[in-house]
Amino acid sequence: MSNIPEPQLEGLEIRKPESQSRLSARLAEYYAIFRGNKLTSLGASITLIFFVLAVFGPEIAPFDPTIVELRDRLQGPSAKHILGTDEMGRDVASRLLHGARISTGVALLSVALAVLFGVALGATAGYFGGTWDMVAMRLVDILLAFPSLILAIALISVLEPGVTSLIIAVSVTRLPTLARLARGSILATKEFDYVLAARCVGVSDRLILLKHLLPNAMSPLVVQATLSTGGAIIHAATLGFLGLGVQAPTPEWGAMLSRGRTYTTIAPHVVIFPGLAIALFVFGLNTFGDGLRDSLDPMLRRLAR
Amino acid sequence: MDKYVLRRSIIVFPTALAVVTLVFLILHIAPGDPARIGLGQVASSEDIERARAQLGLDDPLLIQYVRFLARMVTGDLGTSFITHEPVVGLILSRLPVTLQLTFMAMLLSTIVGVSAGVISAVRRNTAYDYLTLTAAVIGYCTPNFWLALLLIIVFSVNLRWLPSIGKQALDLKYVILPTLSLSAPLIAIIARLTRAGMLEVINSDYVRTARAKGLAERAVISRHALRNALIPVVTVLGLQLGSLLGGTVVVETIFSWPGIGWLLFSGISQRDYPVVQGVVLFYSVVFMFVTLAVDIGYSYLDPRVRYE
Repeated sequence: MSNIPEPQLEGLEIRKPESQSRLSARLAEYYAIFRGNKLTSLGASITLIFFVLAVFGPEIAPFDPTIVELRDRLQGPSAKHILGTDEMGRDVASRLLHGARISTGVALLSVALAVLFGVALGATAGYFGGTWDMVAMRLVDILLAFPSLILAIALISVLEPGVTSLIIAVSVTRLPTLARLARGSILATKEFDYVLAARCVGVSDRLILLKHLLPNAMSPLVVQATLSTGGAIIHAATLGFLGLGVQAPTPEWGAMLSRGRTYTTIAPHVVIFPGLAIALFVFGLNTFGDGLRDSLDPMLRRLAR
Repeated sequence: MDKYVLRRSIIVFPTALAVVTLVFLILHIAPGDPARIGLGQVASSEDIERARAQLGLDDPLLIQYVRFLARMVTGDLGTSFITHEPVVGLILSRLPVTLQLTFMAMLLSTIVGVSAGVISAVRRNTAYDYLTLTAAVIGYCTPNFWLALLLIIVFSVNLRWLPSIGKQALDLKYVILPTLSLSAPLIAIIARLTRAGMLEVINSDYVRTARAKGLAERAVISRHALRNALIPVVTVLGLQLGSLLGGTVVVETIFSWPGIGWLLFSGISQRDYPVVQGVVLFYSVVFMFVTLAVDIGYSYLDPRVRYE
């Protein structure tokens, strides 16, 4: 997805690395990412809030998310239940807070897995080339030949339903892009003189990859991983909506929407709030990722000048 | 036919074979005995034994694989466990509905996305531009199943303008909401891409030349700038077909459209593996050939890619 919003770069030109230590230069650079760009800060703040909710949400939830109170079913928002109750009288706000941990956990773990395997695959393919490169890239091509949601559905429909299968299925759909990106970055940097120099003094392939090449390929990978997390949240929620994700009674945003859709006529809040949570979280991650890309991607930086 | 096209076309076949193999393997590590699912819980163990033998499930995996490939080649995707109809027939009978939905979504995304993007680029940094960008960001972040439900709440439940469920051939009222929910993310992507492409092109020398020779602004934009700005849009349109096909599962299920997406959904809920396998293969093969067509088309639009 190469949609390119206008990079805001005023903030970037003011730093003077020569007068600063490396660490403070780094910090200044990170600060500059947010300084000139309100949207990036907004995205980062939203992302941060959701992460905090994922960690502490279940602690601050006012009600047990699984307690059924049929007398109170499908109530609109009130002082007692600020986001209303669902079709079994459970507190929607509490379920959303518990769901935050699940959605965030699933998204982060699946992207982490995809980064781990994708980068290992792509980086070694790019570095060693030859037959391994061909095999690895054909593998990536095969994964890319499936529409990603369809691949996830196929995988998950044969695995035991549950969180682990969901993570595996989502992570497989994230892997090809990351692998290709890692390969491209390594290909672009492996011919540089400092790599040759490292090889001349007898540094092993493994160390060259880990210590010299990967750190320089980090920025695009971080950006892609951030953007990938937004997609992972939508995928996980979609699978939950289709009944393929986390199983009841565990509160998961997509599954909440799916059960609530029977009641759109009498209790639209059951559908509105979980979707809003998903959209807001994805919005935060994507604007944060876009902002990161604009600031870290040297090519875009040059283009903008 | 030149070398690039030939090479790109040939590579599709091993990929297709690999996709078929992968789907075969995935479905064969599936838990649950197909024979038991097909016969139901009341079947005796002798019946199940006989069914297993009949379905060839007792043969070695390699034999089953070869048999599977042979059936594939003749266009046989097996029979449904539940209805015992051929899967190919099930898919083909639902194809027109899905085709209509996907086609309408593509059309709507292109028209709305490109025009919004062009106007946005021409009126850069105006209120209109910001409004479009905001709408695009929102559209891109909204999961389509949620959008579908919101549209139903607003237009079906509250305003009572449009039906929320069902499909009547050629009645536009039934088409609007599903098409809108399916195409929202694509509209957003195309609008942003068109805007970015236009901005890149609009300051280039040949556009300045076109202006300098006194061409009307409208002609400069539509005939000179837009053509080049649209090249990446064409690619993305093809690649995004994958998301559209995935989206049909959700949208058809919500709006009760009897298409292939809904077939896949009901196949999963009933553990009807031949149907799941058939639809997954069908969607992947369609997607693969569209990607091929896009790549080849792209090589004509932008001949540079042929000299990689």
